[in-house]
Amino acid sequence: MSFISIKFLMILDSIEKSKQITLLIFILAVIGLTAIYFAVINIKPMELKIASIEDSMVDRLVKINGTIDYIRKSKTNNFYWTVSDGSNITVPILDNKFKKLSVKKGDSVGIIGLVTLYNGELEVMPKEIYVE
Amino acid sequence: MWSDSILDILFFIIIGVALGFAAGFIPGFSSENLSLLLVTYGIVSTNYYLVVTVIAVEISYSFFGFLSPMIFGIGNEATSLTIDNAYSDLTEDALKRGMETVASGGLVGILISLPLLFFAEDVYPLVYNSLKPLVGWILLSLCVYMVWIERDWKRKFFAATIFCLSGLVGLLIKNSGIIPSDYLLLPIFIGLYGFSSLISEKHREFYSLQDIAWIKKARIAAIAFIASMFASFVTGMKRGQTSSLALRIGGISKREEVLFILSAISLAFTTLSIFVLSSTGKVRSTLAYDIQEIMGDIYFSQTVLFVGSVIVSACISVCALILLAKPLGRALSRINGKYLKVFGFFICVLLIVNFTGVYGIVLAFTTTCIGILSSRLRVRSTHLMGVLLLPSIVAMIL
Repeated sequence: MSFISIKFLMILDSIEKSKQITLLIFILAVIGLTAIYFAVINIKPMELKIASIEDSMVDRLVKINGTIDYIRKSKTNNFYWTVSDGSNITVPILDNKFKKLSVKKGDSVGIIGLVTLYNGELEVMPKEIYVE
Repeated sequence: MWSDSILDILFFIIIGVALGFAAGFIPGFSSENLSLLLVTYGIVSTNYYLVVTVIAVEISYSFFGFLSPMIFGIGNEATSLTIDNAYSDLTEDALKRGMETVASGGLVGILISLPLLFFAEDVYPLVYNSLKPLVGWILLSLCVYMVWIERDWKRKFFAATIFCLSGLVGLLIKNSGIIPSDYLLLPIFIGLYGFSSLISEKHREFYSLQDIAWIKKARIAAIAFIASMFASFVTGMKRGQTSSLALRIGGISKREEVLFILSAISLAFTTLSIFVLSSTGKVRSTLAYDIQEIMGDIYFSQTVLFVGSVIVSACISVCALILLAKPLGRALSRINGKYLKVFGFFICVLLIVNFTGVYGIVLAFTTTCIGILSSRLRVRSTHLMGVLLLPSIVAMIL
């Protein structure tokens, strides 16, 4: 580790000052990106029943399990699933990778996504979908 | 009753214009931040009046937002991408001429977009749906083109690096849930365009502005019209990239012509985004996002009212801009720019902490570093928009 640090300092010393500052800013940007990455991967979704999702949870990451009750296709080629575990919630399928999933009415799914509010209705915008 | 409503609307337009004017003076601060405060705290209780106020803020800032880059060299998404150098040693006359150029460009921008109001309901859904499968590829081609036109291989490499770094931020943060989605762009844009330009040392030169011949103005207006139309169809394109492309393709390089087309595109794009929202329900600008947040879906009659507010706000802003040009120039010669910069910096920090917390600070820090990097490596700040473009391209193509 110390060898790497010394080597790094030697390289840094051989570079002119203005370039050193640029390199330092680049390193800080990479450190920032790494911090964001760890923050993002360490957010754990709350596993919930659909009935317990409420307005105050908008933008929270949640996990729900249920069956697909209804699939609607819009004019713009997006899909809207109604997922039920006794209560219902809409899951908009806007991402191409989820559009490719072959699912049908009655399939059991697990969905990790963000709670969103669209036109006054709560939805779960999926980040990950598990078809069981 | 009707006249009361009109007076109320006029009152809120004037308030909005005054707020936009004030925002134009604060380096690093933008109309988006101001609108966010208005929408979040619902300072205006009636939805219509709130929308009218937000429209007036955005439109007046589209004019007054040129003050900060002209005087301090600190711009926003629309201006900092193309105005690289501040007009230091700015004389009263030069500032007056600059502001007149911005005013005439902005008015032209609104005029060229207005006729589309009557075709928007038919044209936009048709073109939008036809282009939709291609949008990802169009965006990708434009990004590659913007990197390609950097002057040498070293710059091309730096440009691609900046695009990828900012794109990585966008990919990591999109739908992550660490920051509420309504405020996600706040730390990103403050970092990329606010803090980074407040911190970066800019090369400053004085430029004299010439009059633009009518025939040239007509040509620039035509370019601005085509560019804004194109941008309004392509998800992910913003005012800054549209302006950069228009400048490059139209071969526009003289300072006065740059100011004219930037202002024209900024206003045309903002106006067209209202038409797109009304005809397709798609959000193409911060203003459209705010309108949708407040009103939900909007109808043609509401669109006409909002476009009316755009025109009145623009007229008031232009009058203020022309009337205030000389006194402003005099006053600015006495103001210490450093204090204003520090003031802008603290306002932005407060906004980030208040709305996005610690994660927002980390995000702003990272985007500030990337913004400074683009300035130090002397590549166009257009590449910083990778933060929005890369996630859009990935979602559309994959």
